[in-house]
Amino acid sequence: MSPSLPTTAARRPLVWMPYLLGAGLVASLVFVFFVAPTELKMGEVQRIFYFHVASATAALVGFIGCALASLAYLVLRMMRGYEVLARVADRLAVSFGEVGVLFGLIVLITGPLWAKPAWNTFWTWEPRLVLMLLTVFLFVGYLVLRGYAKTDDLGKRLAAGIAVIGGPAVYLIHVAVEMWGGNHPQVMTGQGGGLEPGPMRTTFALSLASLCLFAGYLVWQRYQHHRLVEQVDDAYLTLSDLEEQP
Amino acid sequence: MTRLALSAALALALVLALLLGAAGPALADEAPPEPPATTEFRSAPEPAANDFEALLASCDQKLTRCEKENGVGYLGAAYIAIWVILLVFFVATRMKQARLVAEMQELRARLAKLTEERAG
Repeated sequence: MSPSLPTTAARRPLVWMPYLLGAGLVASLVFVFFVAPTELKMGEVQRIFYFHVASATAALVGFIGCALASLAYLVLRMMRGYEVLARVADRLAVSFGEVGVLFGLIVLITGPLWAKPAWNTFWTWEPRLVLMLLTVFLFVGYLVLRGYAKTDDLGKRLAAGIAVIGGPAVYLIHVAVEMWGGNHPQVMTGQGGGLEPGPMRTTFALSLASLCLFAGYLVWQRYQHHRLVEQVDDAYLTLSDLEEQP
Repeated sequence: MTRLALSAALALALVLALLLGAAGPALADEAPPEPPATTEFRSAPEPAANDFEALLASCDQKLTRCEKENGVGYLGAAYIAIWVILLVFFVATRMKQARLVAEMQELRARLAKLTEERAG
């Protein structure tokens, strides 16, 4: 077996991508601080909303992606002839999980920083906050187990099972305030006036698009990384086999 | 084994969702009333210079907002945290990837050399 590198040519079409996405993020930041108006009741601190909600969306999409890819891995690995696809699903699941946890961490940091001036406390045990915290813990657990398992089949299956369990938690986070109450702002999902049309909506749309695209790019980067790790491992195995041959 | 684990995971997730869904409204009924969640964000209006009534109202709103202006520090901290986390993650991934590519190239060279030696 001759290990092959993912060629630079294969990555070339996306060389410009980080610059474009970086420009998008900077543009969002400019809109957040210079275009979006100051909010009537909360004042300046409401500007956290634009990246906080966009990060939460990216985190939840990451968790759903991880759960679905894990489910695909568990199903595909049992089917004959789909081993390659099962490995792809496994790599995708880990990549989605990592990016989901990354954005989940951002949500858990920016949330309390917004809560302190708005609610006069960094943390309150309201349903949406608690569910988000637990879901991030669950996916951190998934990543730890998956990282520990490496190529061990049982460990990979157990980790995938944890990710599948985490899937419904995303729905529960989404409906938490409607189902169990709490004073978490319901601007995007509630029955109220929502976000004011004009600069506020434009800024939010730009932030959401740029952060979600950046999250997608990070998933792709992590996928490439895991593929490379597997290829390096395979190359070491081939090398040691060749060296042991008389 | 996998089928069993998968079925157990799905069943557990379903049971949890149903239990939480059923228990949630009951728990919410017993809880003391909370302040309603914010459902809209509106920009602060800028009154005309000759509209004194609106100017006074605007002053009141500004005073209320001033109580929360200490939030500017939290706002800065939040955006710094976001950018630091994203940059560290991005740069760390790129660096690890570059190291792996170099390692892979070295391995390929070693493999090629070994194969050549064996053939020769």
